[in-house]
Amino acid sequence: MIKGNSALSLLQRVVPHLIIVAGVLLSLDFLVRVGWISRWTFPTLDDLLRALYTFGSNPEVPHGFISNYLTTLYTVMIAFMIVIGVGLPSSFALVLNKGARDVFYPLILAFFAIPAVILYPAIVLLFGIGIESKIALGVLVGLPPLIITTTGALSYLNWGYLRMARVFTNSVSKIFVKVAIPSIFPILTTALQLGLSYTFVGVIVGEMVASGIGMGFLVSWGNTTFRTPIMYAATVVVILTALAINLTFSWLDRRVRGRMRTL
Amino acid sequence: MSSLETRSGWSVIRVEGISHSYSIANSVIDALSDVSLEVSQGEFFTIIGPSGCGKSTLLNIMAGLIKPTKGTVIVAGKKVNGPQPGTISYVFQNPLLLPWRTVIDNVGLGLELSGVKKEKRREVAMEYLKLVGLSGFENMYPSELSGGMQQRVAIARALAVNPEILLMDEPFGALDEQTRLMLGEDLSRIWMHSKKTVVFVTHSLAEAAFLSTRVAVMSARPGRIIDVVDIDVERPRDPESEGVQKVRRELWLKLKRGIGK
Ligand SMILES: Nc1ncnc2c1ncn2[C@@H]1O[C@H](COP(=O)(O)OP(=O)(O)OP(=O)(O)O)[C@@H](O)[C@H]1O
Ligand SMILES: [Mg+2]
Repeated sequence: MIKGNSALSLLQRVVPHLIIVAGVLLSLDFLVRVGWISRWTFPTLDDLLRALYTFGSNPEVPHGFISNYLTTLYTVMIAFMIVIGVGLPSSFALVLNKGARDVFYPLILAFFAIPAVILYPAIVLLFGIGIESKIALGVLVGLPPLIITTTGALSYLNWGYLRMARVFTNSVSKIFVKVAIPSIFPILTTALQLGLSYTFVGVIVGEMVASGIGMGFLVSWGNTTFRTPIMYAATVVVILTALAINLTFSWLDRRVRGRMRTL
Repeated sequence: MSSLETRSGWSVIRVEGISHSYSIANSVIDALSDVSLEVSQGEFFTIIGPSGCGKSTLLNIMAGLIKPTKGTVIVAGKKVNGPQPGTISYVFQNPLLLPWRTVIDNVGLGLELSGVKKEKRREVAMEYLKLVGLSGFENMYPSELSGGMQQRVAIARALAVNPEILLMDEPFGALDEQTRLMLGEDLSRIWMHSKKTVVFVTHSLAEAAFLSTRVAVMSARPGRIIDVVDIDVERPRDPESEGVQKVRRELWLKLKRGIGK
């Protein structure tokens, strides 16, 4: 791999993607301006940019942008912490215990196959319309992919490595930290990334369907009240946030791998 | 039954009446049957036997990785109940280098797992890398090394913790003949230099004849010790010499008898 200014090389790598995105946006803008797409369907680019620029100070936005944004971030964070706290230990238990695996794994796979959103009305009846129901949906949507990917990752665990390390130490925790976890690290970060993405989806969907606050709420509120620029501004913020989360994970992945060189 | 050689040196390993059976699903596989042997300090003790006769099982029991169904192993005066870090090191057939670590971090793994500080680790790891002829490769990754070099790193890793005993389970089994010969000669040199006790499993009778002070010949499964042969060829040995070739033929005859029984 070529070493160099990593920020610059990252920029160079995303140039094609930026060009494609800009091309799509400019085309949409053109189609709106010539009247092929109605302004109710899609705003012109300058309207969208103005909505984004004034998002923080726009008095039209219920509760203000910041409260909505922070509510969504907070909800996702709580839900993801539950997903990790439940998901990782369950995955380890499933890998270590064949009996439990035979019973639960097919159920988890089956649950992943059904659109969990269908359960949302029941969740709202149970938890109400507040943040709890979004957390619950986020967990239900995020947990299965995390468990499925993590158990998959753990089955790649090379028992030879563990046996080799066992000869050098009696400390199970040292083997865990220095050998077992690093050996599945690349797949483990993928599992966490996937779990977080799905949790995010669950929370946003929850906010869109039944809520009074949050980015998902802003999108559906903008939609039903014909405030198209605000709706798209909220959409763009959600998209950028998801991208930022993914970039953070890639960065973390590379950084921790670099750290593993210990001498 | 097993001829139990008594040597002048102290028996650093005593295997006493070991039997082992694996149970899988509804069947039981008898891998070892009443195996006894003693290995003296500083010996190069080799075990040969037909495939599946329980050689790896025996080594794993000595290493404390498997609990035997019957019998005891005493290493350095203590009954084996589990692995003994620092006393016993193990070189497996597969080098089992950690791919995310550089060569030097792999050599230092055993030291790291036993809590040795970073500077000391580096110093010791460099020393053992030199011993196995890999100075200058410390910052490479395992994937950048040949199979022979990887196994050298594994040997350096095992030796770096300065164990009393080195168990080796077909360490050169996956290598081509040329590389085997080279590594065999190096191992012989390292053994003479370090005076460690080595227990070595191989399929190569030439290797056994060239390296060992004694060779235990095992029967087909369930493995028993048929014979323990003293190898009195003078060192340094030449793999092509008449003495080594003669031992090789002798081992082959004993092995054939064991399989044919
Ligand atoms: N974990 C296990 N579970 C069940 N059976 C096993 C297990 N390990 C080994 N065996 C069986 O025990 C017998 C002895 O195996 P072992 O690996 O000790 O033989 P070996 O002499 O090392 O063979 P090789 O020369 O092929 O390496 C074999 O028949 C093998 O199938
Ligand atoms: Mg074997």
